Amino acid sequence: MSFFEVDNLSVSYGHISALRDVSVRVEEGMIVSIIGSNGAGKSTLMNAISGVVKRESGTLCLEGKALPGQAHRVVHSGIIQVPEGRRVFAGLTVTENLIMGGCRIPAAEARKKIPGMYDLFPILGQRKNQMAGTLSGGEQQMLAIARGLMAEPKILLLDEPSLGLAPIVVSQVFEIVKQINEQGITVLLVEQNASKAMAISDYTYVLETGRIVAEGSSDKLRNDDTIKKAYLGK
Amino acid sequence: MGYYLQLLVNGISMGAVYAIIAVGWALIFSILKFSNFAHGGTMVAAAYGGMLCTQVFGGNLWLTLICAALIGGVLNIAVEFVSFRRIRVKTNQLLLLFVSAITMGLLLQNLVAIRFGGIFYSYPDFFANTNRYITVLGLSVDTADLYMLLVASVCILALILILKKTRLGVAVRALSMDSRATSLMGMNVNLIVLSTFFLAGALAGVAGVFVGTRTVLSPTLGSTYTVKAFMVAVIGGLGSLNGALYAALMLGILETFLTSWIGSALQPVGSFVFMMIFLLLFPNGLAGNFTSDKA
Repeated sequence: MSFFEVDNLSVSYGHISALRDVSVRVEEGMIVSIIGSNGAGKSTLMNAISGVVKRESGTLCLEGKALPGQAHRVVHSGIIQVPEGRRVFAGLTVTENLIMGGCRIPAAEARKKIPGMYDLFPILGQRKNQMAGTLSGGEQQMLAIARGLMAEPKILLLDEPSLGLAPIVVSQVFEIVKQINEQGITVLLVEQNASKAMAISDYTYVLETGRIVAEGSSDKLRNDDTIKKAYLGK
Repeated sequence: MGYYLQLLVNGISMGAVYAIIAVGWALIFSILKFSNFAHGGTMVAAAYGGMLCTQVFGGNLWLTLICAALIGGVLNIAVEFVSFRRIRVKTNQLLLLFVSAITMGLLLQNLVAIRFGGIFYSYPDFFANTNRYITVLGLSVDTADLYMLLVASVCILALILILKKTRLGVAVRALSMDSRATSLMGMNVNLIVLSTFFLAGALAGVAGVFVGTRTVLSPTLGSTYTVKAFMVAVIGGLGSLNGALYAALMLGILETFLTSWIGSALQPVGSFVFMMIFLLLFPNGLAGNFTSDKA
């Protein structure tokens, strides 16, 4: 039994099937990446796990316990999503965004965790009283990740953390993901940037039009000819 | 000069009562993006409820206020459950919410009319044992007005504290910006919506008591004040709490002066003309950052 298991998950939007019989396994302490092109169903998979998109069929288990269907209850079971496009609360300050992130734990504890976040992300500490909407894209991504960490996740779901960021900032973000993982947090990473994602992850799934078409250890997949051609442009 | 200053004080205290109605309205608009036309219905029902409470507690203003606030809050939770919950979750179509709100507003008002319609009710005189007028800086101010201003200010300050300092308050503001992200933080969105309705209803209940003490209670106060709250919300900029606050004070002062100049019969005409001119000049209202992208 794996730490986190998704078995035969299917999701449809009306008549359009977005995910079909997707099965993913995540072991504790790993970084697992899911790569795929636009419209492959990556974000749908994240949102179905998080309970913001209705699951049609399939079972999801965290530490052997079935995952609830409502978004806020999924969070309380320990699976925290850092959504695509960051979705920080633009009209709240950086500190208030972090307070929101800590909704899973008691308010007093959440407040105590905030200085630690500013140690991890010094740039956020400098901007703590600024509205989140005034931050740059990279800073907003840091804030979104910090906000996710506030909830003390068992698994952090990262949905396209590199989207729309300058190359140098992308490298910073991936560096941070690695750091977080080294502190013992399991990460499930969804990315279009396949080479970077495979470089930091232990295991990779390839999603195409709603199905898993390939999986394997990231090192092995990186040297696979079809994957190279389709996703690494080599 | 002294006369106008006194009018100004009267206007501000009336405006403060409008403010607690309008701020509740704006609060609901900011999280659900629709105008709750049942708000006046809640207010008038809570006002009658408060009046029933005075029959138990006698002329104690504070107990009556607490009672009316609780009645308003609980009633508004019921309104959310009955009128909005299923529409919100299933379709979230603004038109349906709008129709449902108007229906609920009329229902509340008419339930009040069925129960209390035939007879005029009024609140007991809460200030029978105090001086009718208090002299402040050479102005003699109606004691009732002063209490109105005081209580409304305390209510607004309390609301600001809740929104700024508590996690629930931060969550209410977060919800007004991004509902999905709020649930991804582990907040139960439905619970935040209910809490917001409770707060808005409690404020409407407090306002209801003051509206009742100023005039005679009548069921149609519901639609009158729905229109006033809507005016204030539009002038303030839909969904903006600050805007609603300023606009409410403005309307209170304007009405008081207009009543003194052209009489109470023509006063609403003046108010509406003012609103039309104002909206021609400032279509987004005083602080309408919501209207441009979200309304």
